[in-house]
Amino acid sequence: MLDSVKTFTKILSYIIRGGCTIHVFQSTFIEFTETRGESMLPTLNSANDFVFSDKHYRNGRDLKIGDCIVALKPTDPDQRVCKRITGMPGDLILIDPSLKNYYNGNKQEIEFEDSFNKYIRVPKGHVWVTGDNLAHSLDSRSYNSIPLGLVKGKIIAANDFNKPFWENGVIYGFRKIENNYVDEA
Amino acid sequence: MFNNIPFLKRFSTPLYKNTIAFTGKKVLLMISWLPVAIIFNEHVAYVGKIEGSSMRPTMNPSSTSLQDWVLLWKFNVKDNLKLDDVILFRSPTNPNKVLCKRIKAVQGDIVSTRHPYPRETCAIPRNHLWAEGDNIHSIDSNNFGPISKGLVIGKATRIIWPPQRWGTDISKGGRECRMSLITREYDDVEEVKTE
Amino acid sequence: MAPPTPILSKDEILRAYKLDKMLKSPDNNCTLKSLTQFECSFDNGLYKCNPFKRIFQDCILSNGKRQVVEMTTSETNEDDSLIDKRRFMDVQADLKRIYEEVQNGASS
Repeated sequence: MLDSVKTFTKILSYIIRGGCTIHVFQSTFIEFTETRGESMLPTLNSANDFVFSDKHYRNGRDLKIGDCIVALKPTDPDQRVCKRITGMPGDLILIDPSLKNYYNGNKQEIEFEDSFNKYIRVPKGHVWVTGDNLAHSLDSRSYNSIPLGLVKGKIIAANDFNKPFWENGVIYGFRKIENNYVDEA
Repeated sequence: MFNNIPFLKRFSTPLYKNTIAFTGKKVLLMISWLPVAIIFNEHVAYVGKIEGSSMRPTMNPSSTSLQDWVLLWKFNVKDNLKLDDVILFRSPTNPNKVLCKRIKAVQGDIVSTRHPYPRETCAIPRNHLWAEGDNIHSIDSNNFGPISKGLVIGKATRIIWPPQRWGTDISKGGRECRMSLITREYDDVEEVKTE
Repeated sequence: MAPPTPILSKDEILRAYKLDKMLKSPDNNCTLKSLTQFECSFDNGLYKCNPFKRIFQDCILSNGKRQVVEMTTSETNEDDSLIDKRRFMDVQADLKRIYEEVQNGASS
């Protein structure tokens, strides 16, 4: 009887130690997590896309404009969102240059009212984030810039489980998620 | 190898070998429990040192006394943040800094702000908190606005150092800043005051 | 929530941050950078994404500080050859109508 209790506690202690090691690894180094939603199309698929989140970059460490990040939603900190940084602290950026107003009826012309005239300065310690699908993303344009303390990691790569196991030389649509802040010719 | 060098010959004896193996095993055992300790510190409880004077007189009551150390409770705290809790959270203006303030308003409340907040009142959005230091001179929500609950690291439940400050009640402090309890224009002010 | 941030017009930021001087002075290494995002609409069971480019002036000032200013205008994305704007606007109008129907259905 005492032996079985001993074995039980031994196994339990292995499970606890093993589980905690995995958890510490995931929160300190890299986490593999699922994303859902259309706000990051076409960079990330709307379902069954799993991202590698590098925890070195949590709390904004070494982050640059153009990086994709995983952050807590300010109004619902139980939920995580994947967005791209389009403004670092101190940057002067437009709130929403993609905002279009258009006429109904026959004259379907695209009018930009003052989308190109509304600037803000991103406050210290905050970043402005937008989803890559500007037409379908709830981001800083609605809830203002987010504090860097809510940033939990940078997205460095993704696996798309909608793709077959092997296609074009990659497993499950593996690709690196790049920073697209580049020089303009 | 140890057998060739005469001076080191003593290290090849069974006594030494066993001692090294024994110590090595114990060290590995301790290391294997390290992640568990880390998880405990991250998610259950930790100890925090309070620096600065923004929570005077509740904490660090004078510049000559020793700085307070508090028990920082982290387990299940995100859903249980209440008015007058003393919380530790990441500063919105500097994510590497941790601040200690008291919750003076929760989501839905309207707060009467102090200088230097640019507006007279502030409505607290969903899952945000208004955090103020007990001391008038403090950098708090009056400087950076309401903070998201996601920035909260834990709740300071009791002072554990210095020993003469054990048992100090830190559950009350700071000013009343919620509009509904300050102004006298509301009919049901009697009802509200009895809480 | 971020601290209350004022919305400024282009003239106001040009004046407040002395941008005319900053952008023209050769001492500041100003490079033109771009960031391309997308506007996607759901069309016949597939997503159709049109690129939306944003342009920034990235300057390193003489005192070592970095200032990034967005310079996107209506001309930045005017190249119509790749975009079927009319179809995109139709889909947007449809989505708006569907959204409103859902809202009205939910509130009634």
